[in-house]
Amino acid sequence: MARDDHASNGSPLQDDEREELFALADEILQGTADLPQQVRLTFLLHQSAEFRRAYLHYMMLHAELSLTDEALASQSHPTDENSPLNLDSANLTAIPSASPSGVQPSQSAAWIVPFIGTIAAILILTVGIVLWKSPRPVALPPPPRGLAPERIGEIADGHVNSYYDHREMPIAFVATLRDEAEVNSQSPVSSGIRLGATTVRQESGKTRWAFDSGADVHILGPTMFGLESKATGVLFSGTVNARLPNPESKFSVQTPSVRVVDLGTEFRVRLTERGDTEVQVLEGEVEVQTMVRLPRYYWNFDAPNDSRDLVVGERLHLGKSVNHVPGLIGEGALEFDNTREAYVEVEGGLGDEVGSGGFAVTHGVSIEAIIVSRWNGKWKDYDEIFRKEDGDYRILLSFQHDDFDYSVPPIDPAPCLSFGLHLEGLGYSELDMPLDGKEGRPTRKELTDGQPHHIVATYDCFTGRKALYVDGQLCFEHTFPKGTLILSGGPVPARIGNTHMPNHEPFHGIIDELAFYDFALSSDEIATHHARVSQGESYFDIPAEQLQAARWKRMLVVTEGESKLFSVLTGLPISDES
Amino acid sequence: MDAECESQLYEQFLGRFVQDQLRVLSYILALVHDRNDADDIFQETSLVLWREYGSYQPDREFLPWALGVARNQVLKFWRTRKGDRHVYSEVLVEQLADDALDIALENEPRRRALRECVKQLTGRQRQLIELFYGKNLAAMAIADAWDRSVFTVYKALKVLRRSLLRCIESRLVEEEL
Repeated sequence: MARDDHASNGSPLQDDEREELFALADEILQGTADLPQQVRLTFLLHQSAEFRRAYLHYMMLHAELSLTDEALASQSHPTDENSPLNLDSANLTAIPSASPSGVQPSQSAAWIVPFIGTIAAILILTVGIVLWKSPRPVALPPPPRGLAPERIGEIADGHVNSYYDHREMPIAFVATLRDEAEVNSQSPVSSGIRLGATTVRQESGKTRWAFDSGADVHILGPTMFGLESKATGVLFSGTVNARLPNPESKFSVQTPSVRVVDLGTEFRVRLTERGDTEVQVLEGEVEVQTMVRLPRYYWNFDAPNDSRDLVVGERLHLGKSVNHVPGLIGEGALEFDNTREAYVEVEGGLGDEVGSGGFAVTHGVSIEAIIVSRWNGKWKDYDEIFRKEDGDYRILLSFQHDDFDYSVPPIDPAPCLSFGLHLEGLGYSELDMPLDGKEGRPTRKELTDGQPHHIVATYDCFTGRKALYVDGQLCFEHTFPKGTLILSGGPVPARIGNTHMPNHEPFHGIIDELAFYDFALSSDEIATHHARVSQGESYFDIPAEQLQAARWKRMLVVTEGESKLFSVLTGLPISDES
Repeated sequence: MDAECESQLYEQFLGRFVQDQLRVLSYILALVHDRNDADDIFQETSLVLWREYGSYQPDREFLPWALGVARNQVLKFWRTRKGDRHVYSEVLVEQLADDALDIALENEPRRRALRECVKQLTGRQRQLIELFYGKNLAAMAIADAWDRSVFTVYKALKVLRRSLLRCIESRLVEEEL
């Protein structure tokens, strides 16, 4: 499987590989590793001896820290009186200097039974004292995962003013690995194992996957392929074959430029080195589609008594401290007064499990809004613009000032604009842009100057780039490993201007033109949107009814025996080959 | 075996065991992260070593033998915990246990480097070692004691381990030069 080169030639791990591995090891040590993280760790450790070696060195360091002089010295005051290792200095004087009479190590097992207690006591007394003076662990509260949300705020600094819900959420299974015989012996997973959304990085050989929609997919190494949902995959590099064994089967493969949708077929999709998409149909036909780059949800808040979004008509429930006010763009906007009743809840878009529902995004996301912020920037004061809290699979865009360990890249605690996502294999993290006026970033004062500001947050798994834009300009970014999928969606309603219950993070100011996309807007698109809103116009130069059009548009059909190449730049066909 | 021989054998065992016990324990802790479980495995390993010492060949190195016994006890632990095992598969556990044997046998330079690197830590970081690794307090309890969030403690532990790892690797490179 992936990266067997490490195993075969002993090449050192890359920095990003080590970082990912150690981050997973930290989650294991904390007891907070969720299922996708466990699967990812298993995947990595199976991959190569280098991964295992680095992991074990890290774990050995963790182990050795318990045995440093500093740690051992602090163990002189045991707190658990019931521990068999909890021995005081008086016991030390009673240690015999030789083995007990009649006890023989060895030849016959008969001695063990009557004397085992004595032997244990002697061994513990004699050698245990020297090395392990500590008692068993003190009984303490369980780790944070599973804590009631209210408690989390209390723990933060003594009173409830922040909110992270770490409850476990069910995750949608996507596909099952088949045919172990075809899998390299270093395979990370056993045949038959079911996985949720994850990216398979296969260096060589072939693996066969049964998607829950019925598709039979072969990944041909070297390939990076995202198992995105029950009926979709994302090709980042390499080649996949898909066969639909029965008419009910459904499957599509997305690439950076097009989507290939089966029409009852067997087909192959390959990305060239340049990134162009080659589609070859072995049986039947496929439809090649281009993306319509419009939002999945869009609220312009223009109608005072009807706050449905303009795409699917999703209704909103407004808290009593939310007021309809003249629009920053168009007729209307919503004003939030920084109280607990200042919230807007989206009534639909829910799913049964992570990976389902209207807000479940996998390969990209954008959140766009026009705001007038009155945030004070004080320590532990939060102003949410958008948030969906499906446990740690949350999506958020908010103003924050805290020291929680979520910042990637790390920043010193400071007022910041935060964009949070759960990335598969990496866990939940936030792109926290300090509002410090440095390197093109705005200050808090500039963002709270009473004027409207255009805020956009994007993540694109084809590049791994997570970014924050203010007023059309890229202000802060971080790049994760290419192909890292988002885990999101689920049963908790999305909120605008606050958290889910208990409403502790109300926005203070006005929110308008909120759009949610299932792909990353480009810098050019964001600049165009900004130019339009600067002229008092909405983001989109189309009639409202066109916002409801299908998000994928048929470009052409490729039939049996045909092979077509599509440009990475335009998505258009480059040449015909039969 | 007469009493004198027995006594000599025991002292010999004790001498060797005391010398290598930390390595055995760190091997177990690297594979089993729960301190209680590691504690139990270490005790069981100690008993088996003493029980089998009569058949031990004195010309063999003690540490590889002791680690081999510890390895078997770790695997036994994982097998009996199969029901709630949620991180490693059985194949992977065996692979890790075997790889860790090699690392434990050659770990002395790293352990030496760690001792030096710990001296360079800040007072706060040494306090963290005392509380988390020494007194075995949970991160939540330390967070309460420090009046900070549990995430701050998690982060401090990560920073501690990463900086020590960098320091150790840097020292090892210097030693090679």
